Amino acid sequence: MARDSRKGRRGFGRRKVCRFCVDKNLKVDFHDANMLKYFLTERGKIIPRRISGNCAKHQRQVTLAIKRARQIALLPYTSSTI
Amino acid sequence: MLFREYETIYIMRPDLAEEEEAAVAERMSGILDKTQARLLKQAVWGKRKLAYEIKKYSKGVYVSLKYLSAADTVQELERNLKILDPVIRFQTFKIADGVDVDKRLAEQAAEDAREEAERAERERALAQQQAEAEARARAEAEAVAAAPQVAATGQEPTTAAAAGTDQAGSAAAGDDSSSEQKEEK
Repeated sequence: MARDSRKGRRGFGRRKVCRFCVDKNLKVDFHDANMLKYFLTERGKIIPRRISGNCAKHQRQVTLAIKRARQIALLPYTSSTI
Repeated sequence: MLFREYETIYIMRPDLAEEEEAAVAERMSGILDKTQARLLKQAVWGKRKLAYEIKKYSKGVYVSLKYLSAADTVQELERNLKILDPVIRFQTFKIADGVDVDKRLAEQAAEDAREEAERAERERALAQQQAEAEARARAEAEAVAAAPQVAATGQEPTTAAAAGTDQAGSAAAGDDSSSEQKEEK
């Protein structure tokens, strides 16, 4: 599955593959708060690429989408109630 | 004139009367008309929970305006949104630059038609699901009614297994009958 993306981290479990590269139909959209929540921690921070497994291009799109969604209160800047 | 595609989303207070909401919408569309913008789509998302409080409100009415226009429309629109009291938050996003107006309008029309078709499809599927759930409930009720007779014969493990298969069989039968009913319709 992750044949060439495993380079440099042999034997450290499965390298995650960018969801948006795997599924070409999936679009990063700032309206879709539920999808974007997947890329936030419980506190509302954006999950880094090395954890989420996104490629650079899509991580940029996700970041922009999350910031847009925050401006219109679809996603939290922070959740202080945890 | 160079046109861009914008999306302006504004959030109104949750405690507004319908007329007030309509008044805001009317004012917005008036500005779009006046500045020769082309409205692609106006969507009212309705009352939603906000991810954080804005002006002490935890809910808000979302309205999204998608339009093609030059940059001065956005300025005018945002100036008005700032003045309007019912609006607690607004944000304009640039979606695309240098848009071919006629082509984009045609695309939007096609998209609207597709969404409408999808909505109809969803409703149909929902109705079907409900029918199937009803059929399953009916089958289960029949199985429950039949169960005491089976239990009375003793030998718990085997009867339990038998009852399980019975139920599955009757459920399948129920599904069949429901699809037959649909065909009759």
